[in-house]
Amino acid sequence: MVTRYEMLERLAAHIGDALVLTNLKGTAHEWHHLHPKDSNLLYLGLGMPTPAALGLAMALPHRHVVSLDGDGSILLDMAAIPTVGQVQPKNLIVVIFDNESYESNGALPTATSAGTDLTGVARSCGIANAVTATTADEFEAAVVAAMTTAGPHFITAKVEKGTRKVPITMTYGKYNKYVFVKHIEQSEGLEILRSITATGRGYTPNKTYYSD
Amino acid sequence: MQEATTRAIVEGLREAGIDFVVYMPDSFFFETINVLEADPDFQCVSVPNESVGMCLAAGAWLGGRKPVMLMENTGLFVAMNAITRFHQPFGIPVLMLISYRGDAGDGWWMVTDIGHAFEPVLRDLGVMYERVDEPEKARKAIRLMQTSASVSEELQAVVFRKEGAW
Repeated sequence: MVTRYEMLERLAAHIGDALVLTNLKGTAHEWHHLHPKDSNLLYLGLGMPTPAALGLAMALPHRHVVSLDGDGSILLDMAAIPTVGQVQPKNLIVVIFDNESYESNGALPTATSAGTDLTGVARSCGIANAVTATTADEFEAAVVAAMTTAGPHFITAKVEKGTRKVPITMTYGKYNKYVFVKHIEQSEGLEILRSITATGRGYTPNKTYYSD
Repeated sequence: MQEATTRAIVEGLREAGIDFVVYMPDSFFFETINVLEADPDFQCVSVPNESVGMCLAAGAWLGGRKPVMLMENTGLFVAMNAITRFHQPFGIPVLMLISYRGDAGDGWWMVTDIGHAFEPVLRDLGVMYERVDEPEKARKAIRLMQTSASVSEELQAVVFRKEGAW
């Protein structure tokens, strides 16, 4: 069986300027090591990467958005999957690294170890482009298809347990958020971080606030 | 709900610059949701639970949209994991419009305990909120709380009291 790291290496070769949201721990560390870009938002908690990526994909429908999620995470809140099926975002790619365990806290088994088929769940929720990859070549082919055809795409990547030993150089969530949003502002020509406006919301230039 | 309340909520959201509506179907906001769904100024999406909804709204904010989440107060408890592990540590502002089940006068026994727990939990989370019980107060509170959400990069809530269903 292939490692998650090997699959992430294949993904990094095709990712382009896609925005990437990742799961906790091993996935975040490995991805940040392979692809340390401002376009990454790392370390989202269980159940959160895929619905957050869906919202981002809806906000920026012309841009690829990738969720790097895990089996334990998506199993925590599978309601994200029918929501993707309901919205049908053409630009969303969901990758579930399925190692059949809650590896980050000791590797006790998840339901996928007993046969839960996440690709089957995705298909039954209306995500037609749902595939399972068990080798790095199958995964790369699925990624290329996802980057070149309309989605939503759902890739269950069956991987062995284990995390590559990589330097952990990540930072705090708020700092990551500012870097990520600044990247979106600059690459999309948007103004998102705006605490003070010239229209008087919050602060009006030249207005006297304190008369005494 | 009275038509004036629906109108006040919709216009309050418009004045606040909200353009992305996430909702978990709820009896208090039923008419409002129908009006918002028909209004081209708002992109709407329904969700099967409030945790997915809050994460989806957060993603929309990261992409430059101004989101609101409409839900019953029971949904705050469903969304607690996302709020404390995502919105708060990352600083993601989402305006929440929350209907107050278990408020004084609510005639359903099942929501009494939610009513007891709701406001203490909001306060313990550090979520600023305004309680409203008439249309114009709601309209104003939506605009003000969205301003606060933008400048603080924190969650803010407008809580819709139950009395008389307006």
